Amino acid sequence: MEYKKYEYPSYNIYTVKTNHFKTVHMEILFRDEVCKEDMLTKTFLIDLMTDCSNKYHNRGEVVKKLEELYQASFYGVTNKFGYVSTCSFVLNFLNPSYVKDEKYLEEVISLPLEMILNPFIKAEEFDIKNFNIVKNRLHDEILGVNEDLNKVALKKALSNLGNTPSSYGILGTLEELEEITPKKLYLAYQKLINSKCDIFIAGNIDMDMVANLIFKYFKYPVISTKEFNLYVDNPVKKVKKIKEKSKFLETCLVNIYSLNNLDKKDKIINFYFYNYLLGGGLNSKLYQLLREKNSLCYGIKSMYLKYDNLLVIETSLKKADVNKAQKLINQALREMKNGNFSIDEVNNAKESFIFSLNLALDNLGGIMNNYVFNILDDLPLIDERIKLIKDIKKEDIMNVAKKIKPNISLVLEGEEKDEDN
Amino acid sequence: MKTIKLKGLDEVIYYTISKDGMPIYIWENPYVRSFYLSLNVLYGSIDTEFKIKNKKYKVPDGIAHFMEHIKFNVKKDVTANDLFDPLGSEINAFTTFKYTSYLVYGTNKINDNLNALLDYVINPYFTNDIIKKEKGIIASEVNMGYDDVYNRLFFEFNKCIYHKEKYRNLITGTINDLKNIDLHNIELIYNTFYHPQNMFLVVSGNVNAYEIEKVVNDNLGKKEIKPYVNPDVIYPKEIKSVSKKESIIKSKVEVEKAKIGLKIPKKVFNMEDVKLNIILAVILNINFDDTSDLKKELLQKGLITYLNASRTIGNQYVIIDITLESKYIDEAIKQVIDKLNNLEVKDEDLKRKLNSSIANLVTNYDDVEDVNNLIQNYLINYHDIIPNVKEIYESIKMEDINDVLNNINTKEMTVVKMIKEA
Repeated sequence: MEYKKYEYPSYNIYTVKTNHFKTVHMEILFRDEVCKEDMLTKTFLIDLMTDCSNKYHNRGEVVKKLEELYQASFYGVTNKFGYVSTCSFVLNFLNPSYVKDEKYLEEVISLPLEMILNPFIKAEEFDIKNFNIVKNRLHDEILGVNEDLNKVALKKALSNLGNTPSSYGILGTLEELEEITPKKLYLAYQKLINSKCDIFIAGNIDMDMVANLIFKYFKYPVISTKEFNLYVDNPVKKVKKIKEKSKFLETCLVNIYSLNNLDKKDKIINFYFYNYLLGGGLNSKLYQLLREKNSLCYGIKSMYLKYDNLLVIETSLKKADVNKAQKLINQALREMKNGNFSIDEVNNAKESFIFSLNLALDNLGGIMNNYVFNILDDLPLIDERIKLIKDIKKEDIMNVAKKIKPNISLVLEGEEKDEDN
Repeated sequence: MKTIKLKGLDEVIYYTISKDGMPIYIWENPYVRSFYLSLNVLYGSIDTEFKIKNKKYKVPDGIAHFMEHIKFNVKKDVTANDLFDPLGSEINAFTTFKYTSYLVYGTNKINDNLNALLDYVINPYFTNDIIKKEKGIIASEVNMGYDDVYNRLFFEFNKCIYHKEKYRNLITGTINDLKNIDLHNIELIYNTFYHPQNMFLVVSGNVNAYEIEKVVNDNLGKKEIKPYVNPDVIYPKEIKSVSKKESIIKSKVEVEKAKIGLKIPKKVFNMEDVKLNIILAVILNINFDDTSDLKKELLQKGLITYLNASRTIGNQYVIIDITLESKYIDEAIKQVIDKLNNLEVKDEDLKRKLNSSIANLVTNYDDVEDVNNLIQNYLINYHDIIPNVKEIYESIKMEDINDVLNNINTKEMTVVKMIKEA
C-alpha cells in the first residue's frame, strides 16, 4: 500500500494505492466544532445534498445516474467525535479497468463534487419538494429511535451527562426538526462549505490522475488552518442512579463511567485492552459472569467511547435480575482493577486486536477509516499499531482500571409478562 | 478436486467432497490476509417433523436454534471461545428457516481454525445442566424478538401468508416451546442431522484449496462418524390461498408500518428458479425502488417515508412482499396495491438495471465474507453453484419479463398493518 498526500491551497487529498480491490472508495470530509443546535441541521443538509442537486432534481434521478455508472453508490454520513462534528460524502465505484468507456473515471469522480458545489438551491432556499421528503424521513427516523430499547436507554443515560457534546444526538428532536426551514438549510450549507475539508481516496487507480480530476472539478475556495481538539472530558459531578418505566418487555441497564487522565497510549491501546477483557469478547468477564455463569441475559457489552472519555456497559434482562446483574458488573470491575486476569487472556486479546487490524486491511472502508483518523487524531497507521499492541503488559491494563469512576446508572424497567409470546 | 469457473467473472470456485461425504467449496484470494469459514448444517427451524426408516419423529419448534446455542459447549468447562481465543479469531453462528451456520473469521493459523471448527460442531457433548442454563438466555432472546417491531411484523405476515408452512413459527421458538426441549430431543437432532453428509463447508480468503481438503479429511478421519441415517423431513402441503386476507397488530409502535404480500404458485412461471429470481428482482426494483415513479410520487405527496419490495422463491410458492412506513397507511397501501395490479417495465429501465446488476456481480468478489455468503445462498436456494449467472443476466429479454409480469396477480393477497395502540 502506498500512502500519498496532495496539497492544494484549500484542501488536501490523501490517497492509498492498493491493488487488492475491484472497487474504489472516496470520501469528501468536512469538519467543524460540534454545536448542539447544528447537529440535526447538518444531518438534514447532508441527506438533502445526496438526494438531489441542480443537475439531478430528485433521489430517483441520482440513483439512475449511479446505476449508469456501473452501480456506484453515493451517500452522506454525519458524525460526531468528541468536540468535532464531521460531514462525509462517500462514493464507491467500480475500478475503471473493468469499464470500456474512457470517460468513466472523470464522470464518476465529478459526480459528488458537482453535487456538493451545485446543490438544488433557488433564491437562497433549498428546493421545497426534496426538503419535505427528507423532513418526513427524518421525522420517522427520530420517532423510530423509540422503537429500539437499547437506543432509548443509551440516549436517556447519555442525556443525563448534562450539557456536554457527549450527550448530543446526531438525530436531535422533533421540535428541533420543526425549526428547520429551506432558508436555514441554505445558511447551514454556506457554513458547511466554509468549514475545513479534506478528500480521501483508496483503490487501484492512478492517483496523480485522480488528484488532477478532483482539482479540475472541485474549485473549493476556503482555506482553513483551523485545528480541532477532539477529546471531551466528562468529570463526575454527582453519581446518578435513575430508574424509569418503559413500554418494552425487557428491562435495560446502562452504566456510564468517566475516564480520568488517560494518556495518549491509554487512549490508543491500553483502554481498548481493558474494554475487551471487561466486556468486549465472548470470553470477557461480563459475558462470562452475567450470561454464561448466571444466565441473566442474552448479551452484555461494554463500549469505550474514546472521544468522550467514557465507558458504557449495557445489557437487557429481567426486571428481577437487575440488582444481581449490578453486583456482578461491580465484581467484574473489581477483578479488572485487582488484576484478576491471566497473561493468557492478555495474549488472546493481543491476537484478537491484531486480527481486527489485519481484517481492516482487507476492506477499503477499514483502510480509509484508519487513514482518516491518522490525519484527524494522529492515530498510528495499522502496522505501527500492531507493534504497539505486541508490547502491551498486564500492568498497563491494571493502570487504566484505576482511572474509571462511576457516573450514571440507568434502569429502564420493562413490562415483562410471563405469558407465552 | 474440481474447479467451477464463473463465466465472465474471472473467478474460480474449487469443489470437492470429503471422505465422509461433506461437500467443500473454496474461493481463493491471495491478495487478502483474512479467511472466512462457514460450516453449514442443513437443519433449520422448519425441520421439526421427519421420518427415519418409516418411524416418525416430532421435535419442538426452536430446537435448531437451541442446538446452535448449546453447540458452543465443547466439554466440561470448555467452550468454543476457549478454542478460538488463542487463535485470535472471531466466531459466530446463526439459524435460519432452512439451515444452521457456524462461522469463523480469522487471519492466521487457518489449519488450527478449521480443525477447531470441525471439532466443536461435530462433537456430541450435551448435558442437562447446559440445556437448563441456555433456556434462560434464549428466553431473553425471545423477549428481545418480541420487542423488535420488524420481527413481529415479519412473523405476523408469514402467519397470514401460510396455512401450514413452518415459516409461520419463530426461529427461536416461543417460551413455551423452550420448555419442551430436553436432552433426549437434542441428541436425536444431533444424531440425525449433524452428519458430514448433511453439511457443507465454505472456505473463502487467503487459503490453499488442496490444503483445506487435506485438513478436513485428516480431521474427519480421526472422528468416529456413524453412517448417515438419511432422514426424510416432512413438510406440510400448503394450499393456494393466503391464510388471512388482513391482519392488524396494535402496538406501541412509533411509525405505522404495513406489509402487503402476494402468494403465487411457482409452477405458473414455468422458469428455473435462478432466472425467475433475477427477473422478479428487476421487476420489483423498477416498480418500487428509488428510481420508480411510484416511490417518487408517494414521497412527494408525503404518503410514505419508507418503501421496499422483496421476493422469496419457495418450493411451492413465490411470495412477493412490499413493506412500507407511513402516516397515512391506508392510502399508501391502496396505491401500492394499484401498482401491483399495474406493474410495468420499460426497455430503458430494464437495460439499466441489468447492466448495473452485472457490475454488482463483479464487485461481489471483493470481500471474503460476501463471497462466502454468496456461495451459501447458492447452495441453500439452488442446491448448486451457478457458474453462468452473468450469462443469465445477459440473456434476459423483454419477452421473459412480460412472461413473468403476466403471471403476477393480486388474487391471493394479504395486508398486515402495524398501527399505534390507542
